[in-house]
Amino acid sequence: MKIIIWGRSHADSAHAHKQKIDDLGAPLILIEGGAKSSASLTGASLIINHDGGIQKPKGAWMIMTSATMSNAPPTDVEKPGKIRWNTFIENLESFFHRVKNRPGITKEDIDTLYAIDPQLEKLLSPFAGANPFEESGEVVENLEKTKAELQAYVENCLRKQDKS
Amino acid sequence: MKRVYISNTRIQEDAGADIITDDAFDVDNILVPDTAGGTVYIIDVHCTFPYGGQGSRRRLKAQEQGGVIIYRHLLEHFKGNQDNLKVIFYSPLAARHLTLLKPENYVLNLLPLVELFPRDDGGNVTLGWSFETALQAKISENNFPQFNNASENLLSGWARSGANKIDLKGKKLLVIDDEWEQWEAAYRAMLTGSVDYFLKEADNIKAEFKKLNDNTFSHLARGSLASYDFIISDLYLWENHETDKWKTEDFINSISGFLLLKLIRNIEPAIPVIFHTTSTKFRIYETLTALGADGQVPKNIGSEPELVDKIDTYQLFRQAVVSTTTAYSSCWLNDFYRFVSDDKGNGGTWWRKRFINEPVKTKEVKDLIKHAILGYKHLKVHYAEREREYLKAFFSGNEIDPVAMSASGIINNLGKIKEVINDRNNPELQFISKLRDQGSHATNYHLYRLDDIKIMLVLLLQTLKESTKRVIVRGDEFNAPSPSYGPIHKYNHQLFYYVHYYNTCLSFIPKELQATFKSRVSYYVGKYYSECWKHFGPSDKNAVTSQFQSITVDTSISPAFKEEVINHKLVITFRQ
Repeated sequence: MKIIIWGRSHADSAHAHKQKIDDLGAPLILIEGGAKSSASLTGASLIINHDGGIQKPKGAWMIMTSATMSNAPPTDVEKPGKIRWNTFIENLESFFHRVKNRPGITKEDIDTLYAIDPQLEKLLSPFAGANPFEESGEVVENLEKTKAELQAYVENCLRKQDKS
Repeated sequence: MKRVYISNTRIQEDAGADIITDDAFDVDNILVPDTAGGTVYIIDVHCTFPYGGQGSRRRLKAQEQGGVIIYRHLLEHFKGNQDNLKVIFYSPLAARHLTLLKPENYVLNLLPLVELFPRDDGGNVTLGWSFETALQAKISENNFPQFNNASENLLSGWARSGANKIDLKGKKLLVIDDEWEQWEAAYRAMLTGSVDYFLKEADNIKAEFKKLNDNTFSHLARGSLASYDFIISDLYLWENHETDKWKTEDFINSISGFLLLKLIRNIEPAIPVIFHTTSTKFRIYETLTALGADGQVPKNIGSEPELVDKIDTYQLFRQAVVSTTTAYSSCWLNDFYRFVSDDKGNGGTWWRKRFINEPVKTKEVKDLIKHAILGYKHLKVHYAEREREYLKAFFSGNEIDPVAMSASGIINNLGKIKEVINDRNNPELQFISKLRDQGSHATNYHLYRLDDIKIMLVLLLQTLKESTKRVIVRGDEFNAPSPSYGPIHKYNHQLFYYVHYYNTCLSFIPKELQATFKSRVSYYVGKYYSECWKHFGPSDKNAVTSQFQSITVDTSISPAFKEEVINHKLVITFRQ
């Protein structure tokens, strides 16, 4: 899997986080700078693009970045998203651990770059659209069941957080 | 009470009764229904809605706790009218879990929240639970803490910085803010200790101000103010903060916070006053500085500031409070000032008890110490903390800097205490007056720093408060060696007096002061050493070392420290 951080100035900035990136297994993360050879983009799964001005290969996710950019995850692989550089650095580790043994990158994988936890989202979503006064036995039963899973999941996450 | 539900779903039948976070929902322009007669906003913590600026608009995720984002926009909408904003959140997660997942949303711990389908400790469903009953219970409790964007942002920054309470160290804080109700819950969460809110007692600050101005009774009058250790005050207390107008000199001088500070300074000249204000203009800072305020901390009033900005704002607030209450800080100086000003209590009689051989020159002694306290305080707040770095850079390479000159000026005046209390047997007075004598010499007046003043003030207060008379032991007099070392005598007297006091009175130096004391000794040792080095040069290392040691050996004082020169670098180990 090839992940590219594209752009001279952000390659420099990425060097500031070199240790962190190296610790993750640097061979999979290519930091490009200077010469903008589009050949180096071939086979990329994800391009974190600071400088713009490149044609992304089909099937690769592309996320524009800068120090002040608002976060906007890409909605699908063909539409570039936006990410603040600090958000990317903060969440790189969990993203990388998630994708390192995968053949490709999914939308849910991309969400982890924005600190979105797909499992938590899956468990919370039924409540976001629900009427809290709902009385239908089946709906209530499902919500109660999901609530139990949700609570267990969150407690487990927080326990892990405590240990780390 | 009328209810408005804010969620992804229509809950009440009346089409306009709820706020539905559908695709047309715009969080920047929430259409709030008529709130006449009292309304409670019941918000789904996890409601999702279109969010973000042009080009980055997306639907929030449920876990992003969009309900809190809506609450922050409601705070802005209800600005100046916060008592009408009553909010109850609901979520399948408990507030504790929600805020562990997103610490910056700590406000969920303080506002009413209904947990959906709650379970007991054993994980069993609570029998007979219903949303309506739980909601009604919260409404009946009628406990709706108020916030504004500034207080909620501060709370958020605090929570994200680890949610550790700031210890006021037993100091009593008075908050002067016309929106005090919107700060009370946030301060309670963030601060340990006693906090009073001026307008909780006096409900009309303008009337109180007039009483103060007329010298009639006021809650801020001497007796009342004296029970507080420091103040956090708003700047615009009864007027609007007009951000889009050029502020003339007259306008600035008429700002209520400034008028109040002038009056407070008349009553309590040394009480620390920190201004907590939305204004970050330099002209405001200049005026606050000129009036002797102890600090200025910005309020962040945005409804959606970056998290990093919230953390920064909190850190500035924390720094201001901690530096005011910590050992030998502005609060300590205020205590000292009050002690000296006290005509009736302990402070009123100390000079008789302690220095009975002296003619009573009460006013002179008190004024002298009070001037030193205020001078030090001003220098400390306005030069050391803010301008020192600039001065250092500007004068780099030049030993004489204006801060040092001001420090030596204060020490010079403080040392005159020996002219009004001629007690040659008190070690602290001798130490101070000897240092003062050195500070008046053209060769070394520029060596003094703020820490030298601090040391003198702390020792002075301690000796004034001491119940038994302190006397210099025979043989421990402050007799510095005669300046027989030629050009290198320049720094030896300051070093000698510091070392001598340390050797003879170590047990009298408070623990909290010892690090400062040692750092000043190290400083003078360094100066002395570099003078030796300049004089003898690298060709005669032994001469440098022997001259260096002579200051203690020749004068028969046991060394307070062991010094070693390793690779031209001085290493000092202090005697315990």
